[in-house]
Amino acid sequence: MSRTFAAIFIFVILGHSEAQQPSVPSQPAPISVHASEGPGARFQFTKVDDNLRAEADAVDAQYEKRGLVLHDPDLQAFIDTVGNRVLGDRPVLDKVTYRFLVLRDPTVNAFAMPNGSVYITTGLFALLENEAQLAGVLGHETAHIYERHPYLENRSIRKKTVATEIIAAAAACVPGGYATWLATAAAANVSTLLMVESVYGYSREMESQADRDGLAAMTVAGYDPHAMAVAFELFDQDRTLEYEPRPTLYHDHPDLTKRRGDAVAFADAHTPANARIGVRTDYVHAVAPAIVSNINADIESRRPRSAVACATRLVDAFPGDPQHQVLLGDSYLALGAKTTVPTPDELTSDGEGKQRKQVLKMTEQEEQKALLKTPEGQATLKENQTKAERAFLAAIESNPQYALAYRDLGFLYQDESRFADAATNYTHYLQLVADTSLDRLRIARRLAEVEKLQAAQPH
Amino acid sequence: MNLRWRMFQAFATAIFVCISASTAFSLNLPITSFWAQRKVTSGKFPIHSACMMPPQAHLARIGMKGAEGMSKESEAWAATLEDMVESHLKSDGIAINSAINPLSSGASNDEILSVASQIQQKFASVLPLMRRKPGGIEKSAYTLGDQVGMLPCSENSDILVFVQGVGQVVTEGRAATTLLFGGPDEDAVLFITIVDAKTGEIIGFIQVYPGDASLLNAEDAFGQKLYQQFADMNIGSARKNAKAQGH
Repeated sequence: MSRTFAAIFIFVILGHSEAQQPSVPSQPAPISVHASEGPGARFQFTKVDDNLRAEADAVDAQYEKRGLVLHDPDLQAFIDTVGNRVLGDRPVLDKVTYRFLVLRDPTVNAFAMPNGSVYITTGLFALLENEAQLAGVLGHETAHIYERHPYLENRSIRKKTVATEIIAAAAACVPGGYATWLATAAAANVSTLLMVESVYGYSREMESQADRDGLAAMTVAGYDPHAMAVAFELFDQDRTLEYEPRPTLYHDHPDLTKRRGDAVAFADAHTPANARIGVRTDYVHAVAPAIVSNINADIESRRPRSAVACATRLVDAFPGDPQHQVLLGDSYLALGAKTTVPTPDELTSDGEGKQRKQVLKMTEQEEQKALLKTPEGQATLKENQTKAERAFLAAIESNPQYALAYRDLGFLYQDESRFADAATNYTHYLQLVADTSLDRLRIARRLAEVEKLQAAQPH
Repeated sequence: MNLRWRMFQAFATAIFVCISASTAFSLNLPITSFWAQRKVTSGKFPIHSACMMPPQAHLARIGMKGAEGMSKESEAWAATLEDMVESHLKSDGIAINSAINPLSSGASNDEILSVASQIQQKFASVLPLMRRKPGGIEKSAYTLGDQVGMLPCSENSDILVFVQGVGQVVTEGRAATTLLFGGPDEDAVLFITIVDAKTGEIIGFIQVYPGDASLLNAEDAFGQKLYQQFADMNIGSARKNAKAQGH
């Protein structure tokens, strides 16, 4: 029964959004117009709005308490600089404190809360290529806040008295990142499903308006709006790399091709001279902590192809960094018998169905087992293991004191039943790592296990 | 002959529809139940100590104009649910630790939170599949990996316990409308997932639906059913205690 209600719930939410008439593209207004006449300045709060804001504050607190917000001083300084540039001369809104926060979540997404908190997932940081694209995303999200979309959408839904069983929605199985699951579950917590709307996208009309305002804001801040058009292309390409059980805001809401077309049209008409895009390597350098966190999250969330793509990007940007080499090796290990990019078969509609089945009906181990039944799967596993070994050895060459390289090389050798080599590397790791390391006990257990297996192995 | 054949077809179709509908219905019924590995139920995996992961709970209040959040109440409810599960485990002779307690590891709070968040990430990726096919637990199908061993409490614990609750309460007006015309009513579900603290394997999963008591009083709503589930699962001395009390 709960699944049925969940399906109805999702249908109601999506259906409601889809039912809106698409807006006719209009000439984008310059940001200065909003500064004096925007809806933010005229908005009258009701008790319902105050409750909604209090709920958003509570969600902020929950994210912090659960360690889902990534805190890195340099990254924070970078995102604050870009965010404040995009905010520009917008007046300070009543009951809004803009905060730009990094959420540890591998899904590609960003969302804004009515209280002014803007969350960008590590997945989105890892996908973007330069500062201007980030400015475009922040422009879009701050526009939602500035236009008071969360409050307006909340009021609109309340008027419709959507009768849904919240419990069914919150308890529904929504695959994705942990934070996304929490956000969906928090639909039960936040007044009239605000969270689902804000995380998965508002009505088509509101999204189009946020696109227009975001493009205007980034342009006024001196960024090239063409970058946002390229970002839309990236969102579209990303969809082909991993199966996405739930499409997020930037995937189909509204259609990405149309959004890209609108962005290009705007950019062609409004790009200022000396507009900046930002150097690609500077961006990667600035957001590296988010990418590193995201690779780990990708690996934990069955997104090994994204992990390999991200890690490769880091290694290309910083060839001598052992941490990135190890992450690349870990990503190849997680990939197992899967190819780094989808095969042509996987991109067909049949292939997509198969991928859906693999994600929703099979565990990671079952999926790998199924792949290893074919000679192609076995060959791919071998190839990925070789690449992983190469990456770990490169890390050791860059820095022979880098403990994690030995540990993960041990993991690889243990998988390959090379127990003596695994034992050597685990021992090396335990010699190098600090006594306070949380991983000591786990590796000591593994060492004992491989030594036992080694002793049992015929010579 | 033709008529007989048609009658048979109609009869077979009716039977098929009835069976399908009842199976689908029963699969989704809110019935308190548990799934566990045989080593747990048989007592071959003795449980003497547990490490509690931070609880998660979400409550909503449904009124005449949709739902309203209950963030503060949710936090309090999460703590109440955790306390209730802890007290049941303690009464079954199981020692309790907190997963985010650094103990004597010397690790910082940030480091432990980061590890806990990584484990939660993995749990979130396994949970949908596990809820879809809980029978897989008996076949050791689900694991969080031996990274659970990075939590300081795992050294001296047998299991890791995840407590999750989702619930809705209704306003008086909504309750009256529901009584007359049907609609949402007070409801909740409590999920408890038990993980091997050394290997990360999921060895047990319990879903408990409340009795008639108010959700906010966790012990009254879930206590008795949880007591029975722990006894059936053979957690700690639960089965022995239940037998001693004549259950």
